[in-house]
Amino acid sequence: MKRLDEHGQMILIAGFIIGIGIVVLTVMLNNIIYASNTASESSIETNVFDYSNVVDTTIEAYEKAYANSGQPYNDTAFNAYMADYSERMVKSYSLSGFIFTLDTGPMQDAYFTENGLADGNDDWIVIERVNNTDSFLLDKLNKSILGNKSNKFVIEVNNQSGTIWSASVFNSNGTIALNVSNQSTIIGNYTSSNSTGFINITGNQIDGLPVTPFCFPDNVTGQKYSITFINGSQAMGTFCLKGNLTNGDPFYIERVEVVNSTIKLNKNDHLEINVTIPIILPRGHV
Amino acid sequence: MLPFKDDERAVSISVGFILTLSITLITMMVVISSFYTMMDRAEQTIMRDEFEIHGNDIALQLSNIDTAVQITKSAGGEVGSFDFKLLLPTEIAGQQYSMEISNQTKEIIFESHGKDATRVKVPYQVHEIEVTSVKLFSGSNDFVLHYDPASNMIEVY
Repeated sequence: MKRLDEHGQMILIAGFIIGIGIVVLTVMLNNIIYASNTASESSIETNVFDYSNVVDTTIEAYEKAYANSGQPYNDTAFNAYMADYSERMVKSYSLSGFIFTLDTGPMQDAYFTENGLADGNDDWIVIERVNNTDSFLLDKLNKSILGNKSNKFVIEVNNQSGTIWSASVFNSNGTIALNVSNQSTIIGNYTSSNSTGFINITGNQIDGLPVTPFCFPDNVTGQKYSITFINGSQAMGTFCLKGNLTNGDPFYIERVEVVNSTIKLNKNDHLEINVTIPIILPRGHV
Repeated sequence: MLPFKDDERAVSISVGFILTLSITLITMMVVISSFYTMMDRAEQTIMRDEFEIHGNDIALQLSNIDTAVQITKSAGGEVGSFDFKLLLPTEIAGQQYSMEISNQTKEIIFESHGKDATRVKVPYQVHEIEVTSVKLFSGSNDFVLHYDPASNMIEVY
């Protein structure tokens, strides 16, 4: 009888141990559930890649719209292309929760600044690592915008040792003046009496008429150089540059007009981006 | 009947009961208090984990804004506005907390009730822009990272 009583006590102790075990397990499980629930509250988003894609795609769309608008430039065709692009972008980005809005400003004449606007970067490198330049043209230089001699627009060709050729363009009493020099001497001083403001640097022409050579190829051939624009906000017009880079790749840069594009992105009302990007057209390729 | 002084049976039952009760109570108290300590530590651990998650989220969004500004500037454009609404909970592990952004140390500092055990510092990296130093307290669900193009700084409010 006494032994049986002791068995009962064993059951009691076993029950007590199991009880403690259940309490410990419950507390541990509770902690795990609590931790996993709270940790899952946060969500990390990376929207910068979407934004980067939107900017790149939009710039490319403008270039294609301009290229497809025909020669001479057809405003209706350009706007139709961009309206189509905008509609497609709205649809495709809506799938990932973005509201995409695109506003295209009017076409503007371009300054010779980096972004083509008057307040853009004045001094900038147009192209680097150039092996040879086949064609370098300036056109439609706007005399009323062109700075005077103390505020001139300068094209510099630099190699590792310094400037090997340069041209200063300025407004001299209502005419376009061009002073060209190389590393050591003045090559020539020119004026454009015609109002077209066309200068063919590689073809030695001003307003379509031949002039004393600017000696551009003579000074740059065989060199590895970069072409820099200084004081770009003091000149407005178009330019075109063609040639080859030191790695043999061809380059083609053309600036005719600039258009301000306003891109707006909104995601689930907690991300709002509103940017204005000037798009240089037709831009070309490097 | 045994004299009271010599009757050890009743005494042994009483003493045994009192001893058993005392031991059980002490054991229960120790176990419960250890559970509370464990819970408290778990709460702080969870809080730090949560703070790290939110801190990294904010650091990532700051870098995102910085990158977006860089992309826009390299394209020659200007950012008109850039707003990112942070979805931070009112309470983490049942406690309110503060978030501080330090411009000098370039860190996002989270803490709850000023306790060192809950403090988490998450570094952030920006190159093109700056971030205004600020200390905010939980309670409002809408914290906004706002890029101000005029000052080229991100304000958090």
